Order: sequence, then structure tokens, then C-alpha cells
Amino acid sequence: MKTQRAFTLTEMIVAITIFVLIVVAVFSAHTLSQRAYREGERAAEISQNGRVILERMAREIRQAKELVTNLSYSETEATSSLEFEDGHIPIPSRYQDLGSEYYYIRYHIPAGTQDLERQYRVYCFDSCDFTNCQPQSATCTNVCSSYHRWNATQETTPTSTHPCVLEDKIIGEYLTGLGFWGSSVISVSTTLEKEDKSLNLKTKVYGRNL
Amino acid sequence: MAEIFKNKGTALVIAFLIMGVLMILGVYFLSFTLTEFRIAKSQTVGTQTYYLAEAGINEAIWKLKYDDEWSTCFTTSSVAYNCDCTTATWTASSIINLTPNSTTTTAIISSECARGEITATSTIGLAGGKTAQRVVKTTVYKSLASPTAGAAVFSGGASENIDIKASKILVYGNLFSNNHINIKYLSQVEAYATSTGEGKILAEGNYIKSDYSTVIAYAICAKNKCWPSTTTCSCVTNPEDFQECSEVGAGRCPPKGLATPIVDFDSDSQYSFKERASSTEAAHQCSNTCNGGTCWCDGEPCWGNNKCLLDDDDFEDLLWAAGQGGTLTLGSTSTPTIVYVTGPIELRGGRHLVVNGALVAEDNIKIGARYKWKGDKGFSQITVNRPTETTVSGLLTKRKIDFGLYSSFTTTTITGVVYANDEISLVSMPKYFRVRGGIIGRKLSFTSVLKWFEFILDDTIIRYGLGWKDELGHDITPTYSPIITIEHWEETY
Repeated sequence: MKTQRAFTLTEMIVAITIFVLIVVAVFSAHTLSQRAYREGERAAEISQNGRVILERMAREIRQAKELVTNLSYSETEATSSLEFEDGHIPIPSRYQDLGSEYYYIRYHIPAGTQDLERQYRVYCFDSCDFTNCQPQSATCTNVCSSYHRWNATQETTPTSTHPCVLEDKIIGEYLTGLGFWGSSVISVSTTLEKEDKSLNLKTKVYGRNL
Repeated sequence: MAEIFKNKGTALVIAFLIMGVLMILGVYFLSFTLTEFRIAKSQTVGTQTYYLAEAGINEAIWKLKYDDEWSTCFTTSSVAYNCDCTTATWTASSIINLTPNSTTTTAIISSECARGEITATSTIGLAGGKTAQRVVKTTVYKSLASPTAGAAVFSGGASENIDIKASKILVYGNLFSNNHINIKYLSQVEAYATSTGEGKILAEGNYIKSDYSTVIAYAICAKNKCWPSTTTCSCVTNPEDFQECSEVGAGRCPPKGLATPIVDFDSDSQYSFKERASSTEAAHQCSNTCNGGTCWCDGEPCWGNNKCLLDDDDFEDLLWAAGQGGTLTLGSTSTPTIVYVTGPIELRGGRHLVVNGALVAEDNIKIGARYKWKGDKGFSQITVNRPTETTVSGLLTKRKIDFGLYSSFTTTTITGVVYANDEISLVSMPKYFRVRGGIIGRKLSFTSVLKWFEFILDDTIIRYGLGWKDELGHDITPTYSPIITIEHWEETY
């Protein structure tokens, strides 16, 4: 019977060990690269959200006619929401037949969310009626009998105005912090977080009509 | 093929090959990881630096409007700040620290008056002593403001009005009164848009119109009127130009008050009308002719034939020399001039006065208020020409201008500015009256009866006519729009 030569046990153990080590190393590298890729995606996503949020707010603040929110001068006393009178003309739009001279925009983060909400609203003395102002309808009329500035007063009850929200839209996600301070040059701070990634963006916007 | 695997050492070679492939894969994954990490970091820091640089730009634009040094040096000269935009570039910078590890440096370099480039450089300190930097550049400028806020018809008296009675008035541009506008007795007023005037009727005070008068305009904006809406009156879009916009809901949308534009008649400045007339005369460029030839006074050439600076007697001699039905021409189409008269001017007795350039008087100017002059009689006429694009042209006085019942035998054409420090009165003019440029006075009174008055706004003609530009086209007393225009921006790394 002819004897058949084979690998010794030692050879086999050494070979398998080296193979396993290399496979583990490659797999780890692959896992690491996947994680890095996902982290990059998250960074890009919060960065993109941050850009959208700041560009939108900056454009509207730049044209704002009057600030409703009373802003402090220091960042430590920054407010987490901002309301101002819209300086853009809402024509042509679904509001061209509403008849209001005053439209207001409010940016804030609703409680329990990480979304930036943009409210478009008017101020009225009487109660809000949205029968002719449904979100899906092309026109919006007769929300209330007359529209006023946010701080208007009258002698009869109710003596002060209240807001009627015409639109309520989310324009950005992953927002965990929002701060406004300053006067005619308004400082804005946003903090965005997604899982372990976070981004803090700060800028200043000059309100040309403020 | 099977033979290959029978050779000794084959397994080792194959093992090395497989290991090599696995190693290359591993290196690739590591490289991929590092690249992704760097991209993510760069993207994050890049966005942060961009918005910090934008903050610097916004801060600089605010400073250009409200910071005393920046706003002064951007458009004028100042001894206090040691800057002069007409002769040297001006630079300034500021630093803001919006976040603890960042710095934003904003610098402006003006290339000429009211034009400059803002550069905002933001840096963020990173680990390992490295920094991330973003540079944003913006070119900013201010346009020259319309001297009359887009008005072809401008009344600047705070307690005076524009009175339009039984008149037909056609305006291309705005009609502005610093107080009230009264439109009465079957008047017909039409205002249409031009490139700088929207065709508005603007009254800082009240707008008063009788029931039988008709008005066509793009908008009527006054203390008691806001037609057709506050939006059309620009209260919404241009609140800087309007006052009491907070009360627009109550139908109030008056424009902000504007004083009559200032004219330098006779200061010592080389740019005053008197000095400009004097220097033209010294350069022997003055030429006044009667009926195409020399003006003769008592058998000799008139003293004022080659003068630009005359007293009222000398000017009256020239008018008399022209004769009944004759024409006195000041300057020529090839050499337009400024003729400065140190007294009143009265055109009467059937003369035609042709002004190639500007006629400036220190006292009242009367055109056709009287029919007769000694033995002469007839309708008189004035024509003001602007032969070149840089000619100072118009009819200007420190006191009043009065166009009377005998002021034209054909269409009156004035290409220039009609300016009076006091009242301008146009009463019962017999023929069509047309001004291309603008009519500016402390008080304006129109009574045309049957013929049309036409006023066509031209800001350039007004600027030259008021003496705000010299014959070379240089701005002498530029007034800039309050609006800062951002012309161009770019990002660099």
C-alpha cells in the first residue's frame, strides 16, 4: 500500500490561524468602513437640514417688517422661538383674497419633537373659522371678520388679538436646539443631532426693515 | 492544469495570493473609512464656517447703514475718520467671535464712492492645531438716488401745496408734494410710469380733489388717502420711504417728507452756477446772438454779447436788441453755456428766448406776464435746449418763476429743469407746455385752462440741471439711495 503524504497538524493550525486572523481583520475593516459611511450619511443629513433651516429663516428674517418676539442681547438669554411680521407680499398665493394687511411667521420646535415648525398666521379679535381655509384648498378666505396687527387692542371684549394659524409646516428635522438673540442683526443658533452625530450652526442675519 | 497542483510549494503560492487579495481588501476598507471620516468632518466644519462667514457679511452690511464711520467713509469724506472716498480707497475691518473656537474677520475695501467689496473670513480651530477656513466675498454698492424721489413734478415747501386748477396735466413719473395736493375745477391729471417713477401721486399732507376733476394714476398715497391699496403705495414693500405705515389699515399711507433739492447758486465753490458762468466767460466761450447775428445796442455791439455773467440791465439790453418778433439765443448748440443774471428777468413784447444750456437768475423770472414792452408787443416764448448729454440745462431762480397769459405762440419745450426756490406759477398758457427733466419748486400753481402741461421725468437731466454734475459727467454732490445693493457674491476656500 502506497503511503500518502499530508500536512502535519502544526501546519494546519498555523495556516488556519493566519487565515482566520486575516479574515477577521478584513471583516473588521469592512465593518468600520460601513460605520464610517453611515456616519458620513448622518453628518450629511443633519448638515443638509441645517442648511435648509438657516437659509429659509435667513431669507424671511432679512425681509421681516417687525419683530413680535422680544429678543435679548446675549446668547445666554436667547429665546427658543421667533415670531415676526412677514415682509414678503403673499400675492399671488392662496391668501390673496383673504384681505389681511398683516401676516406673521413663527419658527419654533414643538414640545417632544426634533422638528422645526413654521407657522404662518394672522391675528384676529374674533374666533378663527377655517371652513373656507382648508390646507388642501387653493384659496383661503373668511378666517375671521377682520385682521389686525399682533398687538392691536380694542375697547370691547375681547380686548386683545389672538393668532389664527393658516399653515403649520415642518421645514427641518433633527433639531434639538434653537436660539435667537440680538436686535437688528439677529443671531441664530441651531443644534442638530442624529444618533451620535451633532452639529451646531451659528450665523447672523441683518433684517433690512427692522 | 492538474500538473500544476502536483508541484511542491504550490499551496504556499496560492496561500500567499489569497492572503494578498485579503490584505488589499483590508487596506481598501481602511482607506475608505478614513476618507469617509474626513468627508464627514469637512462637511460639518465647512457648513459651520460658511454660516459664520455669512454672519460677518450681514454684520458689515448693518455697519454700512448704521455705523457712523462705515456709513460716512463709504460714500463721503471725513476728517474725523481720515477718509475720502473720492481720492483714496477706504478700508475697515471688524472681528466677531460667535462661537468660542471661531473667529470671523470682516473687511471692506472701497473701490470708489459708494462701491466696495466685503470679505468675510471665518476660521474654526480644530484638533492638532489645524484650522478650517471659509472666505465669502460680496460686492456692495449704493445707487444714486433720484433727486426728486422719482417725481417729475416736485413741491418741497413744508407748508406749501401743489394747486391744480382747471388744468390738464400729464406726468410721466411721480407727482410729489411735501404738503397738500389740491386738484380743483374740472382738472384732469394723469400720471404714468417711467423707469424711476411709478406714476404715483404722493402727498405728505392731504390729497384733495373736487368731484368734477378726474385723476388717472398708478397710486395715490397721502395722509388721507391710500389708493388703490397700501401695497400699491409701497407701504408694504418700501416702508423706508413711507411714514406711519403702522396706520395703513386706517387708510393712511403718506410718503416721508422731502425738502426741495439744494442748488448752489452763488457760493465761492467752483461748482456754483455763478462761478461756472464766470469761468466760462473767462475762457471766452460765451456767445449770445440776436436773430442769428450780433446783438446791437445803440449802434454798437451789446456789452453782453460775449458774457455769461450779466446784471439785469445788460440782459434786458440783449432782449431789447432782439426786437419785436426776434430771437435772442444764449450759447449755441455746439457750445452750450450757463448764463447767470444777477437780477430779475422779464420776457415780454414778442421775444423768443432760446437757451442752449441753463439760464439762472438771482431774482424773479417772468415769461409772458405782459403783452407790451414800450412800443413792442406780442406773445413771447422761451425754449430751453440740451444739445449734449452732459449739458447743464434749465431755467433756475432763487425766487419765483411765472409763466403768464402771453408766454407762448407755439409749443413751449424745455429740456432741463425748471427750478425755483419759491413759487412756480403757470397760468393760462396759450399753447402746449412740455418739460423733459422735471419741475421743482417750493410751491407749484397750475392753471392751464385748455392746453396740456406735460412733464416727463428724467433724473439725469435733473442732476445736470441742478448743477449736481459737471460738464465732464462727474458727480459734484452725489446723493445715494439708502438701499445697499449686493451685486455679486462668491465663496472661496
